[in-house]
Amino acid sequence: MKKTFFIMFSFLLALGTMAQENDKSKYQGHTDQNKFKQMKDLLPTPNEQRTASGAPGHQYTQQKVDYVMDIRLDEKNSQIHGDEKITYHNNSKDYLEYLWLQLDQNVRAANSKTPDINSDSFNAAFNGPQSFTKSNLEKPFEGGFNIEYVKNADGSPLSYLINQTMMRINLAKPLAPGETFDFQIKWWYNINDYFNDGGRSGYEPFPDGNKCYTIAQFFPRLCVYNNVEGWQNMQFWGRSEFALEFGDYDVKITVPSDHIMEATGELQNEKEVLTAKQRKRWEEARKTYDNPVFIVTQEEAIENEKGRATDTKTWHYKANNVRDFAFATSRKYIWDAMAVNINGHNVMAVSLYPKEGNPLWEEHSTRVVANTLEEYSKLTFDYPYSKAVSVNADRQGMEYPMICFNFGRPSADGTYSERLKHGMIGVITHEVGHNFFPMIVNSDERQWTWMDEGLNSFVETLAELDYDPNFDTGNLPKDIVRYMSGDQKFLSPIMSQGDYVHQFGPNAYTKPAAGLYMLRHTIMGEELFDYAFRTYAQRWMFKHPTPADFFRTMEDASAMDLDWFWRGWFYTTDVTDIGIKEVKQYYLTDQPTEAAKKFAEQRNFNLEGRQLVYYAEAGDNFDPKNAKKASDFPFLNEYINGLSPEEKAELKEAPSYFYQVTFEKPGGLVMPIIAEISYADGTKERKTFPAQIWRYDENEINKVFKTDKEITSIVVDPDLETADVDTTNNAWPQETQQTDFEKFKNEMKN
Amino acid sequence: MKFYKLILLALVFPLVAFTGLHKYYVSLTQVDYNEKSQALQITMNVFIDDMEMAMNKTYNKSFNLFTDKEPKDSGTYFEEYLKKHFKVKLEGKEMTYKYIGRKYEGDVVYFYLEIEHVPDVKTIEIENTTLMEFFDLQKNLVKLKVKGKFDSLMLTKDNAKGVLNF
Ligand SMILES: [Zn+2]
Repeated sequence: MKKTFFIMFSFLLALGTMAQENDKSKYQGHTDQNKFKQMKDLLPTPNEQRTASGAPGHQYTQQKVDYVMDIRLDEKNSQIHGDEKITYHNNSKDYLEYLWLQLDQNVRAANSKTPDINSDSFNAAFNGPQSFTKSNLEKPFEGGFNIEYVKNADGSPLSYLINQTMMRINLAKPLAPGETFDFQIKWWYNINDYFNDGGRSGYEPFPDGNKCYTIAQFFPRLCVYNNVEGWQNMQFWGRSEFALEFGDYDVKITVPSDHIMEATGELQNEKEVLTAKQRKRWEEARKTYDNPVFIVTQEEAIENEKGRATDTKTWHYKANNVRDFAFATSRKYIWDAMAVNINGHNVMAVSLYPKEGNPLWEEHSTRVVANTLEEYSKLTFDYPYSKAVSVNADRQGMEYPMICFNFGRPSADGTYSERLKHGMIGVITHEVGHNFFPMIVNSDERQWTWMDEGLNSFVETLAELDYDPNFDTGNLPKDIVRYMSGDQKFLSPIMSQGDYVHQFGPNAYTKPAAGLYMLRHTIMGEELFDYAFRTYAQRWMFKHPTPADFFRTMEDASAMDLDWFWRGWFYTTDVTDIGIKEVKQYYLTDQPTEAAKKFAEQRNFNLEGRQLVYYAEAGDNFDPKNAKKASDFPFLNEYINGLSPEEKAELKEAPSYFYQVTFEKPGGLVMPIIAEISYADGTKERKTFPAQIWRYDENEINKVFKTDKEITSIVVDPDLETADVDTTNNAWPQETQQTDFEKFKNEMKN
Repeated sequence: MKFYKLILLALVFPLVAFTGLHKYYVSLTQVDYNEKSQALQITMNVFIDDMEMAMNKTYNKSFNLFTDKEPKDSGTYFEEYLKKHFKVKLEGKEMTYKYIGRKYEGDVVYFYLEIEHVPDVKTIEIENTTLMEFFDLQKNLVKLKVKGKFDSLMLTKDNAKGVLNF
């Protein structure tokens, strides 16, 4: 049989190459370095709390923490005072000797070590009068928590210790599994001017003395305790965000009576804090799905901000199953809301903004909130909370359950650039989107920034493209090339703890988002990706997922081995660079080629008298003019004629053109090869070879193309889907690419 | 949170904060030696917001970049600003470059600069202090491609110039 002969032929060829490499240094061993090596060495061993499929296991437990708080804003002194009652539920199987709480405000305390860990120097330093005064003349801000007491439920003092931003409660006896512990803390702190001094929350001052307060990380909050980190009590240095337990909140907030407020949770005492008119408008808003309804109009807000109430009002909120609580309050706020139908249940999209945010905010904010809830719900789960609020806070962009603070201010004359509008739409989508990651799919932000920022930036990208298909999201694979092709000294793998990462934004936001976009669009396809991604989100709703849970779920729900992708994209700083090294055209001939002759000779194999088809390259002893067609070989025709009619019916037309393409991969990442083939008749064809094509040789592979039409060009990754850092090797024939520089120079001439 | 640029203000102001106007990247300058045309071709990209802020403060004028209100002669100011902050020395000698123009794309402005009549590049020194007077943590990355060789410099306020040999 001819088939056997060909198999033998290739076997001999393989033996030949092996013999040549029979050299002692070749016996030097090595461990498995293959790009497709499974992630057993990187992922924790699955257990009964976290299964190998990436789901929570049957022994999965999670602590619960409930808070009852009385909060008072002292507007005159810009202070917050709080009375906090905490109920800690130990749902774990462990005895706890102590509890840890986070005191985030201490990052601004006079004795904070955060400024101490930043190096500074005078090299080339210059200051304008404002920053000189700030850094040389101003007294340090007296920030940080002042703890008035920590008490047991019965009022007796409770022992505690403060280590920077962490507070340990020393329990008299270990808290047993299944038990709860009640205690109370009284505290106050000076609110920072976040606008001038920085911070995720604080107040923004206005020239008339009014302030907009956006208040968060404002109360001692329990750390997460689990079987992954023990207590997650890594210090808060100011960058890597939070890890928090879910629980129920009952919060009363007392502010000047002319303030308008929004907060996490449902307002319990509408009648006491809202006017009849405002309540009527709320009723209207709950039934309005197409346009925001004003609860407080701009005219009313302008009138309101002129006064300074001396009496107070107490707003009462309850929120169940949330991981945190935040609020915004000011007499400057305009307030609008509209209903969104999320799969049959009503959610309110709400905005709060000073007049300085208009006309941009009344036009876009609430609509963007609504669009975000709809889009994210499609890709994850139905938004389970009753509302999502977007608060305008200049220079801000920060998320909390049901409420977030976002920048976006037109100039004084009300005009704004498209860039500002896009920035504002982007930030609202992003921060509202954080309700899903990490407010509900509650990953550990202190440890893994990418798990909330990266996943969120990815879904944000899809939501923005839905709001406006031409939106420049900045999160696509092509957008990360600049970062990934940068100096390796300043790159870190995505799987790095955020506090020591050089380029935090590209590292923890853009690169994971671009990677997931690539996974969905190029590697897995939308159907497989979306099912797996939704499975992850639904499995880990109101729970604490880890990176392994995400990686495992994506594979488990899709039957795709993605270990190579996680390993490369998340655990290394390798880059994609795939190119075409060479393209050889082959012709059919009945004359033995030099290569065939040499091969046969080495093996004492006589080609004489054999009926063989040879593939010949143009050159040396072969002129393409002498090329034959498949139909020119009598023995081939004879063979075909000998087939049964059924077998003949199965045959197709013989190809006329034969090419061997050598793809090279200078980049360290393995990726699918996307090749766009152009034919002489002007038609084009796309061929995609899965990343596994690199499994035997990750530097170079050959692929044969047999076609009916002449190939005129081949381009690798024509749509820039794989973040290829060097596209100069992507085309055959090598395009004498006009550089961008020359293109621009020519444009300028014309 | 959204990742913003106020990280740059972190040294100016004592406390860490991450607000600002957009994601923070370094500026990127690509320097290519084009042997055929014997020219050093330079493309620098910077975030528009940063550049606008720097220009407004430097020239005490509202530039409103990439809007209808951008002054017609903004190119003259760009040229002046860049000549002050971006310097190239070849074989130890300071070179003058031509400001070809600028292009806006998304959040970024691209500047095109060219040094002509360069028969060879052996030693090149680049100084780039663009935006550093306003942002203490500004990083200006310079990538070079000369005679098939690649190299790069990460310039910071403490270390605003670098020399490379090809
Ligand atoms: Zn974020």
